[in-house]
Amino acid sequence: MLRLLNIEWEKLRSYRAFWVMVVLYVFVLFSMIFAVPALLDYIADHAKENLALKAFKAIVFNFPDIWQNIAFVASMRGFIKIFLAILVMIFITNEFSFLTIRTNILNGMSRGEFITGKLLVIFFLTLLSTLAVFFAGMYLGFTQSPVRSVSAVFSKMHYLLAYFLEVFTYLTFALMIGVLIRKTGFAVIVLLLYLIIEPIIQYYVPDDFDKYLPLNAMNHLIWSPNTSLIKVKTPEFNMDFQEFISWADAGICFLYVIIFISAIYLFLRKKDL
Amino acid sequence: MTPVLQITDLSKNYGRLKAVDGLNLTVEKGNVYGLLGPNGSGKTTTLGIVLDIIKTPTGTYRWFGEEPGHHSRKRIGATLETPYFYPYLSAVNNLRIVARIKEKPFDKIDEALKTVDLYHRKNDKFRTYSLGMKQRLAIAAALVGEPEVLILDEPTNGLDPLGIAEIRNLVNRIANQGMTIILASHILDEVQKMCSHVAVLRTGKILFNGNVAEALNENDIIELSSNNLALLSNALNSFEGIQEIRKEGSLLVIKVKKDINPSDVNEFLIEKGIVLSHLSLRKKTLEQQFIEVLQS
Repeated sequence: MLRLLNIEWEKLRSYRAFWVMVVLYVFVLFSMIFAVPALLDYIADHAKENLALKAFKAIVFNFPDIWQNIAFVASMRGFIKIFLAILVMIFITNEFSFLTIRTNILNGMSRGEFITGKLLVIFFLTLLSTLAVFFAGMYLGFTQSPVRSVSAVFSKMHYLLAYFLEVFTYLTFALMIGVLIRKTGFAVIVLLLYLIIEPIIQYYVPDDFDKYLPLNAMNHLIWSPNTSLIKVKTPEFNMDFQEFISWADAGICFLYVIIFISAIYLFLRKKDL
Repeated sequence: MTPVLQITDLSKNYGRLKAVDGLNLTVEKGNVYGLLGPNGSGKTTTLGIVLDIIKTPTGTYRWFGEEPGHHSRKRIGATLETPYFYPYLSAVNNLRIVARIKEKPFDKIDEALKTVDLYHRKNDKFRTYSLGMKQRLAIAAALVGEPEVLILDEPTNGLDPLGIAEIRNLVNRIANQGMTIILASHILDEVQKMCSHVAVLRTGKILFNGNVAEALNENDIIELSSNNLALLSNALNSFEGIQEIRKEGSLLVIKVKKDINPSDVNEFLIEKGIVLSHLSLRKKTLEQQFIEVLQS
């Protein structure tokens, strides 16, 4: 494992374009998370009826709900995650367009080791993204939340685990598209097209089946933000909010990770390089 | 002793095309083995299969007597066709990846770069290299793992005469240190100058397989036979135009000096009172074979 990680590290260490994109991603992720309170203030200042908004702002960053809320924002479909997915597709398709995968194999890597190395990079990218969300949550929580007890801070942190699983599944999906298509530009186009295609597929499949579509399955892990507002249910305000992470949703994601990795392996196993 | 590489009945089809067709080859330790054949004769495909780049062949191959697997590849230093490295990384960083894959220390990197004369460019990115430098870096990469066998696929392809001479000197230098080398080439001259053994390939089949010195001898080889080989051998020993005498089954094979032709030998033997039952001239086997290959 350490050897494979070292190999990938040597490949990426002085690859400037890669690090520029990582920094850019973290920057965009932070600005998105930090923009939310500023944006709420701005709208509240300019709206006539701003009481509800102020109330919303007063609770949305409260521990422990903040973990669910910012994990929801950071993992929104086809949004900021795409940065990471494109990054993954660039570094995997590079191996095919430079044919360095061939050099790797003839120097003594097995195809399985090659895939494992890439999954390790994805693991660490996901970890980086999760940590960024964690630190943003800590900062926003401690500056905005009136509740700061240890139990409140930590009690909903499993939403970060769900976030991790969601991003990891998404990036494994991107890795699979990269391996199957092997051309950077084309792979990116296919991913973007799929973002449009899946909702169309969803329209035609039975509703019960919706949550089994890959992107839906990932998004369903954290499908709504949560605030204490949900306890207020009136005929005018009657919405469902997510109260827990379902094991079934997590299981579907795990299953997809296994499917994507198997597809990559089966494809590369018999492939002439 | 276990051969370095043993290939048995190896075949690979692309649809109807037989890229490699029932190929058998044994490379022993210390051989500098040339795979000679025109483009498309199956040289790179054969090397690609034994390096696990090309999949689903039939037949078997063994490196160092082991079942095929990625661990034996760590003991091999190989180049295949054009060198492929990370263009955005320097020579050193590219070689660090190779060393990591082969689980070898980094301290051989500088030495390998010096061997191929790239040390002064070691921190330059791969994409700034000329083709000759890329070919040399590929050889350096092969050397970094301190391999037991070196595979070079058309190492002088696309190089200018100076570059070709440099690579040849380099390969000869490495070969003189006793390294086993497998060299694929479509240039007869190259194989003649660098290899100890040669296999001539055409359409995936081996046409000729053997010792280069013998096959490419500039002097002629004459086959002789008579009822009494011992007597014939004794008589020939006193003939001055002979470099070497060897027995091959019921034949005596002699290597003669330049300007000596079969009739000279015959005349000499008649004077000695020996009657031949067989006399024929064997001429530059490899070259003939190769020209046939190229003409067909």
